[in-house]
Amino acid sequence: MDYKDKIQHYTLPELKDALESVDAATYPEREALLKTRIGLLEASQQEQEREQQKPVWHQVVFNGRGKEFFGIWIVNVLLTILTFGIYSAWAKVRTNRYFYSNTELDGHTFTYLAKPLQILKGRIIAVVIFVLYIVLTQISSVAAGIFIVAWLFVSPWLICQSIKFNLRMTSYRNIQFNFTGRYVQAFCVFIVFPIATLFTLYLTLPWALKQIDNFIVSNTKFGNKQFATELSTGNYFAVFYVAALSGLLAFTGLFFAFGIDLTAMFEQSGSFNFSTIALFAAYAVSFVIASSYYSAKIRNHLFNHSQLANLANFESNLHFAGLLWLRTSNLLILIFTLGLGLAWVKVRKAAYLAAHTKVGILPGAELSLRNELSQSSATLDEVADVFDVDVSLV
Amino acid sequence: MCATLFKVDSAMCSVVDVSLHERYLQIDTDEEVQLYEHQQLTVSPRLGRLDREVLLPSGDKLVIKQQAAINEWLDCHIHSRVDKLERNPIAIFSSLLLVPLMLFIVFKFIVPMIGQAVALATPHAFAEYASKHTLNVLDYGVLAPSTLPNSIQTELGRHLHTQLQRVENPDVTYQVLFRQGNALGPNAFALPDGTIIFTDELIKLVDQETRLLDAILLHELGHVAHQHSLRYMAEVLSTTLLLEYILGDMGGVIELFFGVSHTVIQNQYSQALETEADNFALSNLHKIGLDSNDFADAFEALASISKDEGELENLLSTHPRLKERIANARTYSKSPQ
Ligand SMILES: [Zn+2]
Repeated sequence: MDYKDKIQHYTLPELKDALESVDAATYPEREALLKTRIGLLEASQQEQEREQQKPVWHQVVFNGRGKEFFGIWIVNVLLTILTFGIYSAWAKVRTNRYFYSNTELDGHTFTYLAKPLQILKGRIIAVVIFVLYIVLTQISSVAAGIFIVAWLFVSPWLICQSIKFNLRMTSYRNIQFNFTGRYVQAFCVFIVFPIATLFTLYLTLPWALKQIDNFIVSNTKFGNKQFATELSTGNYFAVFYVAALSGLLAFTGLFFAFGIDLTAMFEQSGSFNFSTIALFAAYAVSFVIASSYYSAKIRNHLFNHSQLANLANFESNLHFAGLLWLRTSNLLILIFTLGLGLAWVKVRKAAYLAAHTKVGILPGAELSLRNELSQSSATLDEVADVFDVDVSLV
Repeated sequence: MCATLFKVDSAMCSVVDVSLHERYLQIDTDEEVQLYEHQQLTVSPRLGRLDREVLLPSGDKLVIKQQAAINEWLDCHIHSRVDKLERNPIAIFSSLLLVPLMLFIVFKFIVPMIGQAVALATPHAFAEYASKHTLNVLDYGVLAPSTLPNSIQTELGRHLHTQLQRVENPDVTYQVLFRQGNALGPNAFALPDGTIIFTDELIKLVDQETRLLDAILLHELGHVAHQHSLRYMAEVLSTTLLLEYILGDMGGVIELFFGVSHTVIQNQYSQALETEADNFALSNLHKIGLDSNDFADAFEALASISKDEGELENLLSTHPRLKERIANARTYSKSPQ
């Protein structure tokens, strides 16, 4: 058999072995043949790898319907009122399950795993803390001051617990999310940095906001895979200042358009008048404008610059005008239905966000995924369960 | 029927065949046949059109599209069925009517009842601490020592004290103080322990006319006698919590809506308490030799310095409209006592 034909059947390692053992002085043409063949195979292998690395993009789909959710929502609100708030823990679980499980990606939906009693436990703790704080502020400035200082130190821990709880209670393809944020870093990000921006007259606030987002995203895990993010501080500054400026411009414009008279407002303390209402309206409008711009741009930046290594990329393409319209129309729906449109508002928001989100999944990604939250060590879980709580009022 | 089986601890899933028997649920995978009894399975409750999720003892998860047969089999042992209500048009329609009605009943009657219960249960020491604290904060922040001549302070103080003893309340020791109101303007307020503060501006406004001051004093006494500070605090607190739980998780825009609803409800409580204090004053005026016209005059003096308020502003105000309070006092004198 011709040497050229023979090596056609060699694998890449075999070819490399052959190249080492071949007597280059005696058979220079063989050496050349081997080298070409190796080059060819290596190129095609790289091509294959690149092909595998190319993510397949999937549109996130929201399947919830306003009419259906309205039935669920209104019945749960009634039960919440009748039980004086206790049922709200069950209502929250049903609501979250409805939204998570109606969110579909690549043919599978998300799952909300929390149990109502876990929610109830967290809320009872939160209410006790809240009432304690109110009572303390009523009787002593010193006690209230001590409470606030204590709160500064406890709240980063509670925030971490809360994020952790909510992520662990979220699963996709039977794989749970998780959070690995540590106290010291949380304390810096949520307490030290924001307080430090005070000394720059809040001018460096965008930097502090970026640190928070970075802390949350880069400490999030999906199964055994860690999220990674590369956020740009410059982008946060640009977005923040444009948002603040447009909010300020809108407010100033409305202020003069409504002809708000500040002196009239202060003459009558305790009672409201047209100027107060106009001032509130101007505030509401400019707040919606500024926050819509910030949310749209930052969400896009956050999604487009975050990834799960060797697993998935994300894309968010919110438009400022679209989000502004969504929020304005939602506010109008709430006002004209006297709050009864809340169910519809929530479904509209979820559908809008899903429609502007894509996830690029690398082929074969599911092979390397593992659920890290072991369900086997029951005793360990029970101890952790005591602290596995989302201490929040809502 | 078809179902998706997720293996525990991995993202792998496979399509399996599920068949239902009277006592067993049967899963046919490529390799084996699994049988499960009802009590071995953890079934997440039915909700909307969502796929049914069933957790197997191994930790594997079975996801099945909703259909009558599987729903029937999975739900046959579950007694509490909220989802039935959530899908029932009659239940939804009655909730739609009952929610506003129940909200009205809760905020109109039950929250004030809670306020009263909390006020009754609160130890007196709390009222004392809270009053001292409030006075400290006010003195530090807004108020300044009275600039009224000492003679007037002593004279007015003595007079008001005599009046106080005529409308005695053995549970409370009253005390009258004078302060310069500054930003608070012509004003009087009562602290829960029975301390009543008049601002210099108010004394000047009524031109030291004791008849008018007495009327205002009685109104403030009403606040103390009915423990309004504590009740208001409890009412606002329970409103906050209730609204949060009823509206659920909120984001930016909803928060704005929530803020306004909260203010409106809160002000209704404040207005109700003001009216109650007015009525306390009106029913006790005869004890200090005054009648309700003196009371109306006092509020007319206050009305002279503030503009008239419309219907919308009334929703956003902590006090009832002066016009109404005056009318209330005037009609009180005509009604038989
Ligand atoms: Zn009053």
